[in-house]
Amino acid sequence: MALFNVPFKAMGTLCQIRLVAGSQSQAEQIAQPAICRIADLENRYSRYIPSSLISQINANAGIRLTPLDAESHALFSYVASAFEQSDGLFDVTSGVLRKAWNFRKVGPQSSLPACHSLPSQQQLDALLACCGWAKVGWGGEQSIQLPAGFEIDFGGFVKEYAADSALSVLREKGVSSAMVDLGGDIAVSEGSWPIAIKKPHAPNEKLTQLSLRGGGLATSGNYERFFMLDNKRYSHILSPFTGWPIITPASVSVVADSCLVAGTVSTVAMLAGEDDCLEYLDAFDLPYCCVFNDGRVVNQF
Amino acid sequence: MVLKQQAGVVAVTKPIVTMTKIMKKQNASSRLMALSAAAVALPGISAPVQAAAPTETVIGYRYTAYNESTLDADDVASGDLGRYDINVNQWSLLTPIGAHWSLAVNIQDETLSGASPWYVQPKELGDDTIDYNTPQVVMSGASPGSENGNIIGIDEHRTDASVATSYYYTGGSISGNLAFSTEDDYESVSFGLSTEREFDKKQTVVATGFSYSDDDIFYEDESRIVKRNTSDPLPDNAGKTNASFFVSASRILGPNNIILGGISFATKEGHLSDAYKRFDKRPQEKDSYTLNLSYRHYVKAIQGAWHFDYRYYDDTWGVVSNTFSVALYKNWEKLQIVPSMRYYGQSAANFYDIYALYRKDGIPASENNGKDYAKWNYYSDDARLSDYASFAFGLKVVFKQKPVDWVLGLEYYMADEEFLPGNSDYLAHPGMIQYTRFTFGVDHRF
Repeated sequence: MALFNVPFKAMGTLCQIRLVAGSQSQAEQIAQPAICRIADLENRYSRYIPSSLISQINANAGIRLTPLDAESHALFSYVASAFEQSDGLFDVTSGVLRKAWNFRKVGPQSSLPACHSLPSQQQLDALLACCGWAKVGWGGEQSIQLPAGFEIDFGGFVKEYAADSALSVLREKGVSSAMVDLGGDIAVSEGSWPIAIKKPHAPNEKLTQLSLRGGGLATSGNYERFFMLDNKRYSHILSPFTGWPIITPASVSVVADSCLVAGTVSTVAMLAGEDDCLEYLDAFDLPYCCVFNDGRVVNQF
Repeated sequence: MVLKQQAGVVAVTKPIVTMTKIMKKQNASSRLMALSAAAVALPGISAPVQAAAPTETVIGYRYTAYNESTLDADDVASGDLGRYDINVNQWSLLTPIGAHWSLAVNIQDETLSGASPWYVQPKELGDDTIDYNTPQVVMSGASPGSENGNIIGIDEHRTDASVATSYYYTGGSISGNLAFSTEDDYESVSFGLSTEREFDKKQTVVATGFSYSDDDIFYEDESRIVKRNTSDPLPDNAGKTNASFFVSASRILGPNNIILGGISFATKEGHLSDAYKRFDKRPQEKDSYTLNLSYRHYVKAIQGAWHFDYRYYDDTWGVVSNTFSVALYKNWEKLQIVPSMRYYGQSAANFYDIYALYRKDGIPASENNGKDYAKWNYYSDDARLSDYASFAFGLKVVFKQKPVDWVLGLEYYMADEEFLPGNSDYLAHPGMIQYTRFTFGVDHRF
């Protein structure tokens, strides 16, 4: 028996499941139901897949109710709780604000405009009118209807939930020791899993290392997508209150009982911005490591 | 020995410990509690791998100054008016060992000095006139040579050490502890075992426990026992044992509410009389039953949690007590402020009375109304066995400046028969306690 690595692609990122098995092919066989579970969650909750529940809910906005199955209902309850506990920072309706911004590469190779530009406040105000979980008015019913013009996006947490769910499937199959890594969102079962966290601006260098014993680790960073304009850095993380990019810490990693909660808290810390992120991290009282843009590191692991 | 009994006035019973652990989570972060409660409702979130073992090492220090208020001169026949002052220094260490174990070590050093009620007598008005309706206490620490004054003031030094270890496994934990306590004339050894089991994704926790202590009282210095002129002198191998059991269960009711209920049973055997009392002879056995009910309610609008606790206690000496307490844990960014109030009321032990009041004019009490202590098997005029009630008001402030927590606490306590509803069968005891307790502490986390 040895530790095997089963790589795969899901949710737009490189993933891996590590588990103990007799051979690589046996490991792949054991991992299969977990990989299927992740694909199932992607099919149901990706806003890019037209048949997904999220696409249906968005298409039905302002028109009709969309019924919720038990798992989706529990996910919406989680969304409501995260919105409340983050004072509105964690908002699944804020994705529409991205329509005013382009964080993709520009230039000759791209079909997009030749340079980045800033949206007008008028443009942002129009989008902000269609933004705000509180305006959805969902009170725990078995169905949901968004106001016209609203869209929801589970992208902010469904990958983390998928990591927990995949691990849960493995546990049900009797796998006592496994690690699910969905592009850095990690869920592990019992045992001690050494995990290195990379430096946000130098991914080949190790920032810190920790031993994860059950639960999850999630990292949010601003280094993935941004553009520079007039020497100012605009990150892809937008304030749900103003629609403008937030000056966020460079990265926040959080450890919790589940990858889902770790991911939510790291996202909330990013959205709180450089000035308030530590207040929020302390308020949630979970182990974290926060890297600021000036290189300062607050390591509470 | 004295301190042990004194501390009993405000002692926290075992089942609360379990609850405290759960409540710590809510106090620490109500946001996390709410988020986790929503997360565990999801089918994809598994039950936690193992019960929450500590993940950090905490070194703590506490200084406590306990000061009993001076008695009214009107209530004292002779002796010091000043009562106990207790100073406690406490050091603690809690550390994880590997993934499944934790170790806790506590060392406590206490000094106690002052006087305590030795016995109660009717007020002497002079000219051999005695007011039998006004009891007064004779305090230890009376000046030597006076008629009642051959008992010295109390000056004790006590050291406690305890070590506890816990093993955490999938869905639960098992803990064991061993403790030693020594005083000049007193030694105690105790051990305990407890278990915790989590159900339903940590939403329900059931705890059970057993503890046993064996105390020895001895007097190397023979003069001490002489000075402690008591009606129930210590036998050569005086000692007592205490065995207790508890079962408790807590349940998280959504993100904002937790309830807890627990029952416990304790049985004591041995020399239970108070060697610091002159007229005190208690049964050699005492069984007691306790019921605890607690409710925690978090209110988001005020970023605070209300703690409501009720405790019912009943023992074979006839003492029945009710305790109600309420506290508000209010979080203010890095600051936590905890105002609290507690009401306690008890009935008297069935062998309690102020017997001296019945020895009128040299006529034996047996002919008076039968309340002569000497003809009773058991008797005591200890205020703590009388019917009385008390109020306690507390304020605690915790400042969390990672990695250090600073703690300041203040409590004011006053006991009085008047606080009980209804009429008492006894005259008010003149030796009721009032105290203030100040705590300063610091915890460093690694």
